[in-house]
Amino acid sequence: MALGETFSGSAVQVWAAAATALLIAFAGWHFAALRSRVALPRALLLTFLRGASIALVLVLIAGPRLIQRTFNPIRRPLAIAIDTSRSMGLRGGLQVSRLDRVRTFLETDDFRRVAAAFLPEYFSVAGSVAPVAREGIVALQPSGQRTDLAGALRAAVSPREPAAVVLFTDGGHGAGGRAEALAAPPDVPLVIVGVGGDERTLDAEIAAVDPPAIAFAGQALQIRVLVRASGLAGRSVPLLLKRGEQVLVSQTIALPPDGKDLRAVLEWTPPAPGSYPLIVQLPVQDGEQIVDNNRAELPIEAVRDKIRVLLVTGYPSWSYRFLRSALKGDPSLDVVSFIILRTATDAIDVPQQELSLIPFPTQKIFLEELPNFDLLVFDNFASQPYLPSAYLEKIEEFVRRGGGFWMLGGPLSYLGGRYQQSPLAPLLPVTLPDASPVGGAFHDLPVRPRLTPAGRNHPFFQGSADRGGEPPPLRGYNVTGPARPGAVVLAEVPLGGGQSQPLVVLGRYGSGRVLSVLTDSLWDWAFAEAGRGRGNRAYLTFVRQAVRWSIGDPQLQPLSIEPERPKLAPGDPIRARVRVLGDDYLPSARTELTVTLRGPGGESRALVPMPEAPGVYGVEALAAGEGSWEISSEASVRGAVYARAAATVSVSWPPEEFQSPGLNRAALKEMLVGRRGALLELGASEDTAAALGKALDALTSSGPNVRAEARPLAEMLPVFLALLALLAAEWVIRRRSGLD
Amino acid sequence: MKTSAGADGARGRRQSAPEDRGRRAFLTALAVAAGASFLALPQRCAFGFSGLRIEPKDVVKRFTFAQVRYAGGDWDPHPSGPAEFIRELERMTSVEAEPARRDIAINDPELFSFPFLFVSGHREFTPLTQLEVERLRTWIEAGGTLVADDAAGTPGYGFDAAFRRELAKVVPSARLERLPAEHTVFKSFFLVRTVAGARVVSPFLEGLTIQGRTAVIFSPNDLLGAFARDPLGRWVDPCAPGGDRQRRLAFHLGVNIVMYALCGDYKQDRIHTPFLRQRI
Repeated sequence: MALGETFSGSAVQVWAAAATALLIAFAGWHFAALRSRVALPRALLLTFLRGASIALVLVLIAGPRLIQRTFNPIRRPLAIAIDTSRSMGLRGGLQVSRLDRVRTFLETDDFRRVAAAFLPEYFSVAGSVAPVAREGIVALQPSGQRTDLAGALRAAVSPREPAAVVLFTDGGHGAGGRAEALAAPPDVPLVIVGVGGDERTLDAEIAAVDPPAIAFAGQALQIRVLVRASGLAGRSVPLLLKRGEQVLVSQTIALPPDGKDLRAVLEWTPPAPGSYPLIVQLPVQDGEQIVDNNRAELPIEAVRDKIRVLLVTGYPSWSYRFLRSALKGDPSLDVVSFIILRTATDAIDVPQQELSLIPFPTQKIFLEELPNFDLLVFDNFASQPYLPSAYLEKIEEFVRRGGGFWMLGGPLSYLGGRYQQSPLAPLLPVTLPDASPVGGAFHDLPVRPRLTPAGRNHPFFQGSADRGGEPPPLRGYNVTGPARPGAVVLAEVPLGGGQSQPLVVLGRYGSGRVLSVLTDSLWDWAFAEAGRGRGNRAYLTFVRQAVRWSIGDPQLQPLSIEPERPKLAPGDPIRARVRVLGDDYLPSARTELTVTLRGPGGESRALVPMPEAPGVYGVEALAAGEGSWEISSEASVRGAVYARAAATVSVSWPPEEFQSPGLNRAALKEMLVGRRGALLELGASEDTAAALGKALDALTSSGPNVRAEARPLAEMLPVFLALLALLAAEWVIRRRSGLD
Repeated sequence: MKTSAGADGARGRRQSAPEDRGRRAFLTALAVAAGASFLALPQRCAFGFSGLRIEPKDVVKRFTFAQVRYAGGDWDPHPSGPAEFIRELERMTSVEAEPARRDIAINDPELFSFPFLFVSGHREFTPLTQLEVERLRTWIEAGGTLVADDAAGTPGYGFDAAFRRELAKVVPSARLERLPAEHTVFKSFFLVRTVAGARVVSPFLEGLTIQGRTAVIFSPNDLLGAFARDPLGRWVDPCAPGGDRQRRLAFHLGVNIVMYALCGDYKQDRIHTPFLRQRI
């Protein structure tokens, strides 16, 4: 049914006025020309018909449109979404909660009058969207842990296309944003009624925590904290750094004024390498309603401080020079080195004051300082002239207790250094025969080593990939017995007849790790390889990985835990993949794997690793509550643990819900970008209803039950016929008047 | 090992006589107990151990005095100098060096077996080919140490000019600069306060430093000339103006240069600082 019609045309422009003037001038001229030939009435009629025809053509050229409004007797749906997340339970200094105020407004006559033109359909919105009967609104609770506003919008417009969506919310939403909002049909108008804009909230907030990129055990780390507050300006409060309930650091700060930021720095030193699930916290203040934002979780992985390496070299050599360069080039290493530059047999023709040589402080180093090092390297060094048995026993103890030890080859190493009779012999991963081998203890001849299956898979040799995995040739090797049982041979020198000499061997002694390299020309992997156009990658990879293996660096453990997602919400499943290899970096059927999950309260339980592939297992458990959950794993063979790993999963509700205590206007405005909509604020019911009605009226064209349709005038047949009629009438009269 | 029986008797290296062993062991224990300097500690040879004996065949000479053989000019102005220097190097230090010099062309496939290269001459030499320039550049970047010695001692002419010209091609991003007195090369073994060779044209060394490592050292004082002897064992050059003292200082400088090549900035380690400060 047609309710009314309105023309809307192009704006009057200057040329239109000029055309009108020309039209009048033409009419005057036309009338004057006819007046001398026909009677006055006929001249007037013909002039009118000609002028009307031209005027109609000009109007059609201007492109006017006819808007036709039709009345729709069926009322269209109006989706009314009500945010029921936890933040809607805030009162903000008022008597009733935000949700109660929405409920009250929906019950007013003012709102009913606005809604009467539509078919209201109600939804509750939190982490998910659920339809609600009108009578069920009273039972809604602000219990949702998150707000998915964009999801709400999508759900509200589907499956029936409503005339508009009216969303009552405070804007504290944890999922969805502008991009997702735009994914909803943009032609459905959205009216957001913000709740909480008139509140005065007391709140202290940890707005952001900026941990250092890397934390070193034994080194102070700085944690930058951004603090915001509302209504608590100037109040002195302690800013706490905690681990569980233990307060590690307390620093008094004065809370900033509303809208201002306070940046504080907490300093703390991780005592040892490992995982530290820390918490930065502000105590809850009197009258403060939002307590979730008073704390922030901060999982810290402290790695070892600089790895301290003690390098002792038998005499100046290229082995020392290139090893020193490789170690010194690694900023995570602190290298102390001693080289025997001169022995008592070397003759000097100057006083000692003319020499730069210093004493070899053996007593200080080996009896006092050795435990402060992580790795001891004997590089072609014969110990017996310098280190009596008591010193060597200290070294044995150092390794047994977890220190790393390398013996690098050369004429003064292994049998050449008479280590077969020293306290160090048992810790070496190769056996040393008592008898002198045929051909000497060191064979100075070019050899082409080969990797064992364990070596091909080992991180030490990942730099040899461009050689097809084979290491570069060497100049010579030490002669020893075979590797000890349990030792892992990574590379060997083929001797013919199926025999081989171990070249790179890994072993464990007590809690320590021992690397035996049975050559003094490993530096050829740096220098000679550069001459072959391959650079020093093979050498650097070997040295740096070997250092990390020697100190038990978690990055080189043959065991790793990879959580599927490092951050979860309560109720989500904790899933992780555990990868484990044998001590030889090959999947091993002998490996026994245990996985344990420890909750925030310290409770532990074993998880069952489910095999997915050789050396790969999956574990799954439920994240029951908020806090840091630690997955730890141990790999062992016959009860002897050879690798440990741990990973932390943080479980918490999305912090955005309470990130902003008041009305989050910015987030709501962002939802309206690129779509038809309006942002209102819930106030007095009469005012709010009036604003809502006005917005709906504007956004739903001309009211709730009217549909308007615009059509170009030129496309309408009556207009075309009218033009024809004008022209035909003029033609007939002119013919009858004897005019051409 | 240097401790082989009678192998180096002329240089004071003798196998321990059985009657000396008890005394030596006692001195060792005393020195160790007192935390004495390793300078005072006994030789490397075995004491208190029996069984395996280190055979001469186990001696491995990894340091080679390699000298660059180039086209044009005179690449070998002092043929006997390197051998004499190597003898002194072995006599004074624990470096295990090949007794004979190895001469090598830059395009020799074995170039990358020798991280120490010495280049000397009086006269201008033929420019390096592009292949040689690139090969030498790779050699330096990989960690090689090149020591250049102007046997003529004529700055701006002859070998000096030719070497600087070629070095600019090899390492265009850096240039030779005077090495300061606190550079490691002056304290890598001896405390060297005077830069000298067979002559004293300039009181300082120059060096080209790349990423903290002085990869090229240039001596303008005919360093190798101070080491050269004639077939009868007499010094070829008189070492002017300082005579034998100047010659000794040249040996010290040569030893320090080799030690720097082999040990890098070892003497810059913190542990050396108090001792060196005391002595300097």
